[in-house]
Amino acid sequence: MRVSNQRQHNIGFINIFSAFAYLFMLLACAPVNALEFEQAKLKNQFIETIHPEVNVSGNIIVGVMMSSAFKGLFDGELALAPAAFSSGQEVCLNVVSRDGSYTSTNNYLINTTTPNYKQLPYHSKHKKLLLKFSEDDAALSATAHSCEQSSSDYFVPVAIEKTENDARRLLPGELVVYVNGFDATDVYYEVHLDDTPVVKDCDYISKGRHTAYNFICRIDITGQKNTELPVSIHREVYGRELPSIDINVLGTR
Amino acid sequence: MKKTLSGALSIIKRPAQKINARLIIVLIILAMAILPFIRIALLPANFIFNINAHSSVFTLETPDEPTVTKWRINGAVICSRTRLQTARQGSEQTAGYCGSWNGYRFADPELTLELQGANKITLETKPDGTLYLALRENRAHSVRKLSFTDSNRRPILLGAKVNLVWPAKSMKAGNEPYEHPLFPFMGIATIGRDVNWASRGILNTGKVFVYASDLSSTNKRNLVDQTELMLGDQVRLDSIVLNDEPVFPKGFVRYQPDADHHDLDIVAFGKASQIRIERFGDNGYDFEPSIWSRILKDQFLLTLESTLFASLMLLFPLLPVFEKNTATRIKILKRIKANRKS
Repeated sequence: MRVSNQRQHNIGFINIFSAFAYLFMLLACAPVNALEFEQAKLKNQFIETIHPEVNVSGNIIVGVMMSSAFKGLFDGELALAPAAFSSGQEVCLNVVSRDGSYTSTNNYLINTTTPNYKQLPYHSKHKKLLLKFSEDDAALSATAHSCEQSSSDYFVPVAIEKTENDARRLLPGELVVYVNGFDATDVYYEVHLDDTPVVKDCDYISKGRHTAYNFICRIDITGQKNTELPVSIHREVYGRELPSIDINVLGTR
Repeated sequence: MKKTLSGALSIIKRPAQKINARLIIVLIILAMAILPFIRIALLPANFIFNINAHSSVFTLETPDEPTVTKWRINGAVICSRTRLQTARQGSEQTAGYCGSWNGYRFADPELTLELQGANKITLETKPDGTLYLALRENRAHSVRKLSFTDSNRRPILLGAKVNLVWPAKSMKAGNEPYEHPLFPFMGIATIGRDVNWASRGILNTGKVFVYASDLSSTNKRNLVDQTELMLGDQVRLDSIVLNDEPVFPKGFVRYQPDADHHDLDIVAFGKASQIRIERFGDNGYDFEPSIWSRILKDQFLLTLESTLFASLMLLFPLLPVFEKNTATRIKILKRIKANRKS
């Protein structure tokens, strides 16, 4: 009788273990939730220009984006990271190359407030030029207003790629802010990452032309819990401070 | 004389051996046409670029190597983002030139700045004649320090961000007169700066000379090409790799202002196959000597071509002599025979 009870106990234990193992396998093999994308609408005709005689603007903040976002330009796989979009939200996407010869400025309409990735159609006629861009060659910024208005709220452009089974995934990268420091000798940023103050120098881009921007501020937002990130950009000229620029980056989680 | 004559006779008398003089002429012409390109292809593509420029801004990136760069910085005000360990050094603090940074001046008449490892230096002059030097750490283990003539004073280690300022009016440190600074360097050099609407420091004038190595010349190099630099140009001399070792540009920067000019005098040498000249209003261009300028300035090649051409000119009249059964050949043979008999 004792042997029989022991045997039953063992069988019961094995059954429970098997059930858990089966459940574990189910979960492991279950498909991961794919990224949710929605198409934003281009408001007007797509505008881009190439002018070797460069028109230089006076903007200090030239780009706010994930570092790999430039890759989304040449195959049209560009999107905005999920953020608190408002209904009928207008977004102004600006793209400028570091030498200032390529620019594009376009308004997009976002019709839903769902916090999904908003895909931005980018039908460039200069794909050969865009293909030559490498990291730090092009700055993208997506302000939370139409291009006719100024704004200090920035969405985050990201690049996406299609995988083999037609799913989409984000290209990895860090948040970067491209700054035109003009004559500044030092540029640094100040943020609060999960309530921890961080002050860090921005890097000067020493090679090539700096017509549009010359400093890059790299901000590690890995594990960031807040969906908004205020960033303060400071500039100094040989120790003398210039007025700082404050921006608000939306969609940082 | 007899031997020469008999030798010439033996060549002429060889009817069975046809000397194809026309073939030789064609080969010489082909050689004259192809040799320049073969020589250009075989010669190393690296030239020596020499830049002489006057600019109000200059940037240097020193190599990430143990080599030490030393500059005398007498009369400079030292501005440091972090406080320096100077309490025991007896220095005097100075404000007014450093903005929000900590300012220092040292009474030692011979103050030396020592740099080791990868540092980034920007030299810039202002319209009033003030000279600024921005010194920034470029790699974590690079070193920056101040050393003094007085061996009793220990060197002071500098932080990652330091500015040096030479005020416009002459400064006297102790009883020593103000000295115009001179900065010899080795590293990646950028002369000038991109033009934009807020920039003030730019390259004013300059010239780029290109030399190729030439063992036949006295100074072992040959000027191949040159170009003028325009106001607002930016030129960068980068390092190259030769025999698996990086080779960095060298040169010096001198600052000797007068009433009318407040530019840095810059001389830089570097090896490269080409250099990039960035110019406002166009996409910039890569300056490298053209094939024709390389051919026309190559003395050895020109000498060789001249020799071949001279040989050609000598061969043409003698062409009939080497051809079989021509009337001229027979006449010459008869004349030689007649001479021998007489």
